[in-house]
Amino acid sequence: MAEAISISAQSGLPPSIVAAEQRTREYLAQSKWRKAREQVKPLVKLDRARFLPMLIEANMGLAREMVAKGHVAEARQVLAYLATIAPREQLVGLEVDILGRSDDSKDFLGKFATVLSSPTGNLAEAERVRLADQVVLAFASLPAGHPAETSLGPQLRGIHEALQAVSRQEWDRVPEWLRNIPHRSPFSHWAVFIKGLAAFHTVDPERATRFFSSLPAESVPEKASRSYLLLANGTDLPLNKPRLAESILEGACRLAIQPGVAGLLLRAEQLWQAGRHGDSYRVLRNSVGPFPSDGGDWLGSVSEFYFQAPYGMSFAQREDYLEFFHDLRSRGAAKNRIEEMQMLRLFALNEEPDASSSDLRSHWEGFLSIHEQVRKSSSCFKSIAYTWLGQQLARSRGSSSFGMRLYPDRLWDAEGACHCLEKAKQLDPRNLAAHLQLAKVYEVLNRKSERNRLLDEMAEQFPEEKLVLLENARGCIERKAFTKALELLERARSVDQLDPAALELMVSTRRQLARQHFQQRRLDKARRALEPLEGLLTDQADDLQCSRWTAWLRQGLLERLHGDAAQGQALLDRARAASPHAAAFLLFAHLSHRVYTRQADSPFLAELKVELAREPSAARGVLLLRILGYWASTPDKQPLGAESGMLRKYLKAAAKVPCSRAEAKGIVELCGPGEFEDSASAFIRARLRHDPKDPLFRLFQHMLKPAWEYDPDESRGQLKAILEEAQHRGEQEVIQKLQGLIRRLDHPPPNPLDEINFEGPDDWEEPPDFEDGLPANLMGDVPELAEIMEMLANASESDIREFKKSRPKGMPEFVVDMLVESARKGGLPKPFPPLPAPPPKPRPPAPRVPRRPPEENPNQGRLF
Amino acid sequence: MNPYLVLGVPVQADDQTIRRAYLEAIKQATPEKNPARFKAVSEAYERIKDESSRCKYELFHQESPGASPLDTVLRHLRMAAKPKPMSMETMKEFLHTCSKM
Repeated sequence: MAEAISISAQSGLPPSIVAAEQRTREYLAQSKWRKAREQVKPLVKLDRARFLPMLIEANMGLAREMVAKGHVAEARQVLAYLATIAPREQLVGLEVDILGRSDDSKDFLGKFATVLSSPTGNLAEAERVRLADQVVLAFASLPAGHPAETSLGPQLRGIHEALQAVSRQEWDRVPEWLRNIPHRSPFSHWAVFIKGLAAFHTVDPERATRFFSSLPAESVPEKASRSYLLLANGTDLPLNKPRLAESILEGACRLAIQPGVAGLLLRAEQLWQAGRHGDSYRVLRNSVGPFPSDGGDWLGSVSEFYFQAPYGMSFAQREDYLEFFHDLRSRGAAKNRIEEMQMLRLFALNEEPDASSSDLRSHWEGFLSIHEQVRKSSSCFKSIAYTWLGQQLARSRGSSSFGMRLYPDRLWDAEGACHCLEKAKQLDPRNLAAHLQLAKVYEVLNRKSERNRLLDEMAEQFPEEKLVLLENARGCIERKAFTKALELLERARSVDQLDPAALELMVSTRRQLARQHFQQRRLDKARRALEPLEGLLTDQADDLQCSRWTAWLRQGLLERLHGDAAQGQALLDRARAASPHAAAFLLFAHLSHRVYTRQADSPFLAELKVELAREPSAARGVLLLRILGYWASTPDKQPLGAESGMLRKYLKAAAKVPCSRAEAKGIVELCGPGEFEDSASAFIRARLRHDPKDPLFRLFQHMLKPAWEYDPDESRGQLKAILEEAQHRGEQEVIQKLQGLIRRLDHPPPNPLDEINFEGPDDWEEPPDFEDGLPANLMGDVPELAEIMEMLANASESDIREFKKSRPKGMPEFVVDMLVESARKGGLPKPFPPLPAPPPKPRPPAPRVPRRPPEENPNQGRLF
Repeated sequence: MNPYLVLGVPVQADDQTIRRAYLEAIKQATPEKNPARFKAVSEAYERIKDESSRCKYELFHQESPGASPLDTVLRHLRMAAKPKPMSMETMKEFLHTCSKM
């Protein structure tokens, strides 16, 4: 209404007339010709010049509609009326239309020829094209002796013969026939269309696209070309116009697949886009016989799509979609072997890390069994498949329950892994990955003899394979067969001179061999063993394995301990001079000495303490931390509690001295959460005093927050605030880390307990009371506890000290003492003294809220 | 994208057939003439060039051949060998259908 008033104000007409005009326009736009005609008739009497064109348009539309419906007589009546109100040339097209529908083709063609021969000004271009299309579709050739035969006959025949030549793939004949159609002919757009067809089918999509794109809009060839363009250059379907989209797609399907598929595909597409993935699959499954298929045709591709799509879905979408397939399988309703095979592959590759290993095995082996039947799998295929299964079953399940890495990694299904990898090896003895993986599994399981046998077998099977040579060398080093290890490492280096792993292993092996000789007083051999090291050493002072100063230091110590003391001292002096600073030299020397002598003390300790008390700095602290970490990770490490304490004290002092941001970052990253957490916090606080908004150190601070202070919502807010600052400063590394953390908070991994329904009253069980002592089978039910007890029973005092220091926050020290005491006595800890018996309580009601474990802080420690 | 489709070889093709198809394809699409196609062909060849690669592809590949069912079909049709022309009768029927669109 407001629009009508504004128009009225512009035109000066009464609002009622403006409203009627607007309604007329709407009817015309909706092809409601009769309504438009009735609406506009009275207006013409008021303002003929303004409203007559609308009346003509309404009548023309009505007449055309009648022609299309075959009501020719009624159309003629409308045409007669139009002749009284419209200019003659405007009606020519309609007249030809009506003649085309009448039985008198002679009249029609005569009229058409007249129209076409008249100046183009009499007829709109679109009208000429439309009429030409009608002629082409209606007549393959003109009746003999027809007056229009001379002018139109050769052109029409040219179009039809050229189309025929295309359908017969007689490409040379196409241009010959098209020569009959002059450039200015009303049929010229048909010639362009046919040239496009020829280009499309002779695999020149760009040329085809050029031809198709130049066709007049809304002409029949242009409409037909849309299907070709869809296949040629990837134009999009107008999915917002479903009927048009279906027509275009149907054309493409008719051409490339089979008629009648377009509707199904569009339905499946709509459902997919609406997130109803299972229903989308069902549309094709229920309607297309051979779907799903594994062929190389379009059905194979779309089948593959439905089984590959879940890998790109969000967790929730994937779960829903997989549920659809799980349901199909549980009902035994797989449509064919391909569907069953692909479902099993999907289940196995999507298995959650906490799933049962037997599920994974049954899915994967089921997939392989069907694959064998359907495609006759090769032994190479099966071997690779079993290697993968073995690798999955050999996945580490992390360390024991308290989160301390004091125990060897436990495997998901160690026996299953060995079985699968053995099978992979048997199926294809050339499968290197299976051999290497099996060797790793044996190593983790500490099955030394089997590992050594396997390594020998691998050495024969793959004599020139670098990875095998390295693995074998490691096996030899474990057996202290250093000479053989060196021979293998030389071979590995000859295969790949630049491999740093081979180089480092060689340096460490030569050193161990020399140490063995020194300890056995074979001094010449020891020195000869170390001689070749000179060429492998580097001047990079922080390379603790291969730097010159550490090599001289170690050799000097061994000389001093077992050989020539003077020569040893000279080497030590040389090492000291080449070391980055005295504290680094002394700490390295002290720790080396402790390892070589297996004593807690060393002649370097006193000086080290003095040196550490002097000039603390972050730069030095970084190297000292690295030295401590290096010796803590060596196979014959010693308890390092005292040294850690000294270093913590040093770092505490260093945190008070100004340092660069990079140095502080280095310290914090090396400290991380755990033993040196307080040192990290001290440096973080120092940096934040200097720059309170520093995003990196705010992030570090966030990461070190204890688990019990963790709140997901608060955490998200804090991280977003830090992200804002990081973006402001353009700190890409921090931005990426923060975005990752926020993503994890927004999409946390699922809680398996969510799926358990705790609401039923029958689910509630009275909690057991242990007033009479712990049950005898407790250890059997909790393998980690048995493992811990066994470890504690055999642990040395220093191990116990380490254990106490690295116990989780919140675990009182007396609990560790209790565990140790019980472990040494060979039993379980005694339960606490019984409390006085509580008064009898009624049975507790079933909990209404699903029980959840306390939320784990997903950020804890990740940055480090 | 399905490497067999990119190279235009059947799933059962052996090493030699795949190599021949690869050489033919890169002859047609050199890095200068058609870098995108050259890249696609090279990647496809790397994925299926020998038995071990083909087994790994079949066992573990997780890429979807399209963004949606329709997109997959269209990609397939664009990549697959061009269809034969319609017969004259089918073409006439098709053109009549188009005239009513």
